[in-house]
Amino acid sequence: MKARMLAMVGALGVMSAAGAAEAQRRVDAPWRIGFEVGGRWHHDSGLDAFGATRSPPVTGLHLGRDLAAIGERATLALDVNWNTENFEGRLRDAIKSRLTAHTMTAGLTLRVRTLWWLEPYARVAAGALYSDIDLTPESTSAQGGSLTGDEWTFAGTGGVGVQVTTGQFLGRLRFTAALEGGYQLALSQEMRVHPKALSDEAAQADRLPVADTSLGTLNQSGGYLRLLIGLRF
Amino acid sequence: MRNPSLNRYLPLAVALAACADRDPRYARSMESLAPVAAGSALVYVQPALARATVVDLTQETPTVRQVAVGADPVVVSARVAHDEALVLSRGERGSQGVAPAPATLSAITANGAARRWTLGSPFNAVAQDAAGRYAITYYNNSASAGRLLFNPNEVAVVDLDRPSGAANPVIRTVRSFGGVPNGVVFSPTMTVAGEPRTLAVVLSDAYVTLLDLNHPERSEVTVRLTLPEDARAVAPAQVVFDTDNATMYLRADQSNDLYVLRLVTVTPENATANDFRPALNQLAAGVRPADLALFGEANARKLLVVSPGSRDARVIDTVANTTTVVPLDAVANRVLLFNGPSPRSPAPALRALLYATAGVASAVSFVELTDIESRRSQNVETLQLGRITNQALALPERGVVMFGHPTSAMGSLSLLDLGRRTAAPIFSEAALENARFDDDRQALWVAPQSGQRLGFIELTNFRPGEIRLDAPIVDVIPVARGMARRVVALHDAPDGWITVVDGTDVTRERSRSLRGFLLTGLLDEGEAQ
Repeated sequence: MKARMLAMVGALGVMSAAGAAEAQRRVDAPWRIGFEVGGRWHHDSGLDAFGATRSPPVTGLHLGRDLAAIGERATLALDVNWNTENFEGRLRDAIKSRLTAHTMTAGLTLRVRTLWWLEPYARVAAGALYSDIDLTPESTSAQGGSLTGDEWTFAGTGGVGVQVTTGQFLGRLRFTAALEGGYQLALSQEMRVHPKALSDEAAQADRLPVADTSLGTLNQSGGYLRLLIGLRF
Repeated sequence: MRNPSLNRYLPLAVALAACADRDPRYARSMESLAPVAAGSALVYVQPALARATVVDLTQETPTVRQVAVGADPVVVSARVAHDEALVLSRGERGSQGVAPAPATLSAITANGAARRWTLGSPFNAVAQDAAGRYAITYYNNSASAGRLLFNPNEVAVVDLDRPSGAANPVIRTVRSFGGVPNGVVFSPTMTVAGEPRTLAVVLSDAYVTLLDLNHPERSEVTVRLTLPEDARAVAPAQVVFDTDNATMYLRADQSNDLYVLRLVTVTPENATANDFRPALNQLAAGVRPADLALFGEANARKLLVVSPGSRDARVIDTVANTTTVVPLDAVANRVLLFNGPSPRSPAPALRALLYATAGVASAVSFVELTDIESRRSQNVETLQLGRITNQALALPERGVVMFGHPTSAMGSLSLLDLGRRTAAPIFSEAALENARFDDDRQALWVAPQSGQRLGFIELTNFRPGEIRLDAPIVDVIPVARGMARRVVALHDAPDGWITVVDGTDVTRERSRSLRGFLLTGLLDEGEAQ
C-alpha cells in the first residue's frame, strides 16, 4: 500500500510538469473503480454509546462511469458507492457495544478539467444508510446473550473535491486519486433491539416472546472528508 | 476499520476525529438498586445515572419511562399502601465543575409522575408508617455518612400527602444520650390526650424518642430505658401499641424486662410543648423475651410474651399488673394470634400459636387464651412437626402457617392447618425467605436461586404448580392492584430482563419477556443534557 502511494505521488509530479502544455486534452478513461478511506464528523452524541470517538475511520468502494461531456472541459459522471464505519466500545462498564453503519449511494459528479490531469469536481448522491448494532453483556454471569437491532434510513451527500489522474500504464489503465469533503445528510433512525436469535432453531422457537426495546433515535449526519484511490480505464 | 495499518494513511482524518469528547453519561455504571413494585409498575433505580426506570405493566405491552431522581440515590422502597415508589437520594457534595445538590426524597408513580421533597441532609435510611402517609428519613448507624460533618441524630419527617414546602419536611434533631437512631417504628392512629394521632418512635441503644407527627412543631420526647449510670445498650427492638389506652410496650433485645410507656395527658406549657408525657414502667418477662402480642378487651388488656431463654410463655395482665407463667414443651420465639376453631371446639375463638424460627425447635404450641391464667399448661397443646423449623409464613386469614425446614426427605416446607392442627409436607427446592405473596395473598411464589422454574402455591386450595422460564430467576416480584394479577421474574442481565407471568393463567403462552429496558432512550440521553 505504501509503495503504491509513493508511486502515485511520483507520477503526479511528472505529470504536473508536462500538464500545462496539455491542458485541453481529455483523458479517454470513462470508467473509474477504487476504494476510499476517510472520516465523518457526527454531531449526534448518541453515538458516544458505541465508543470513545464519534469519528471512526470510514472505508469503502466506488465504481463510476463518465456519462457525457459538457462543453470543452466539463464531464458528468455517474457512480455508485458503498462505505462502512464501525463504532466499538464499552457502555457503562457492563456492555460491549458495537454499531456498524453502511452507506450505499448513487451519485452524479460534475468534473471540470483545469489541467488534463487535474479536475475539481462537485458531487451529489443519494441512497440508503443501514445501521446494525450489537450490545453484549461483559459479565459471564449475565444471562441472555446479545441484544441486536438494525435499521435503514435515507442518506444523501453533497461535496466538492479535486481529482488527479496519472498517465497510462499497462494499456489504458491510469491511477486516479481524489480528495473530497462535504456533508452527509441522514434521516434519524429509531434503533430498537431484541435478543439475538439462537443458532438452534428449536431452542429459538421455544423462547418466550420478547418485546423490543427502543434505544431512541440516532442521526448520522455530519461532515466528511475522504480520500479516493483507484484506477481509471 | 479493523486494519490498523490503514490508520497510517489517515493522519488528517485521525486528527480531525478527535474533535468531540465522549458524553460522560455513557461511561457511568448501570448498576441498579433492587427493584420494587409501585402498583402495576416495577421501579429500578440506577444510582450513577440518578434516574429511575419505571416499567409500567398495566398494558399487555409494558411501557418504559425514565424519571430523574436526586443525585446519589441510596434507597428505593415501595410506598406503603400507595402505588408509588420512594427514592431517597443523598445529593451531591459538589466538586470541580459539579454543583452541590441537596438530599431529596422522590415519590414516583407507575405513569412516571414524580414529586420531590428537599431534605437538606444526606440521610441514608427511610421508614414509613402503616398508612404510608409519613416517612422519616434518618442516618442508619451502619452506613458511612460520606460527609465532612454530619449529625447522626438528625431526622426529617416528611408528610407524603403534602407537597414540599417550608413546613414539609420538618427537620428535627433527636435528643441523644450518646447513641444514634437504630430504627424508626410508627404507631397506628392512637388516641392520645383525646386526639387521634400518629407517633413515630425512634429506637436508639438505650432510649426511645417519640415524635408527634400530627404536631411536628412540638418538641420530641425522649425516654431513657436505663438509669443514667447504666451503660448497657438494651437495644429496643419491638414496639406494640395499645391504641385504646395510649400505651406502648417495648421489647429490647438485651433486656429481660418489657418497658411500658403510658402516655399521660398533661396541659402543655406553650405552643411547642406536648400535651402528653410518658410514664415508664417495667415488667419482668422471663429470660430473653423474643416476641409479644396484645389481646383482650380494652379494659382488660393482656400481653402474651414468649421467652425462649426460660422456655415459657407469660401472660401479663396490664391492668392488674400480674404475670402468669405458662411452661412450654417446645421453645418458641414467635407469637401468632388467630381467631379460629380447634379440634375440640368448632367455635372460633382467639387462640395463639407459639413457634420458633431460629432452627431450635421441631414442635409448635397451640394456646387456648380463654382462662389461661387459671389453667396454664392445661391450655397448651404441643404439636410435633418432626423437623426443625427455621422459617415461617403466617396466613391466619386462611387458617394456615407455612413452615420452612432444612431440606429433608419429608420436604422442606410444611403447611400447618391452624384449625385441624395438622401439618402436611410440601416439597420445595426454594427457601421460604425467597417466597413472595401476591398483593391479594391469593398465591405464594417461589423461585430457587439460579433455577429457571418459577413455583407457586394457590393459597385458596394449596395446589402447587410451576412454570419454566427462559433464564435463571434472581427474584420474584408480584404486582397487582387494580389489574390482573401478574408476577414478574427478574433475570440477571445488566440491561434489564424480566418475564411477566399472568398470575391467573400461569402458562408459557401467557408469559412475555422484556429485555434491554434499562437501555430505553439510551441514544437520546446525550441530547437531553
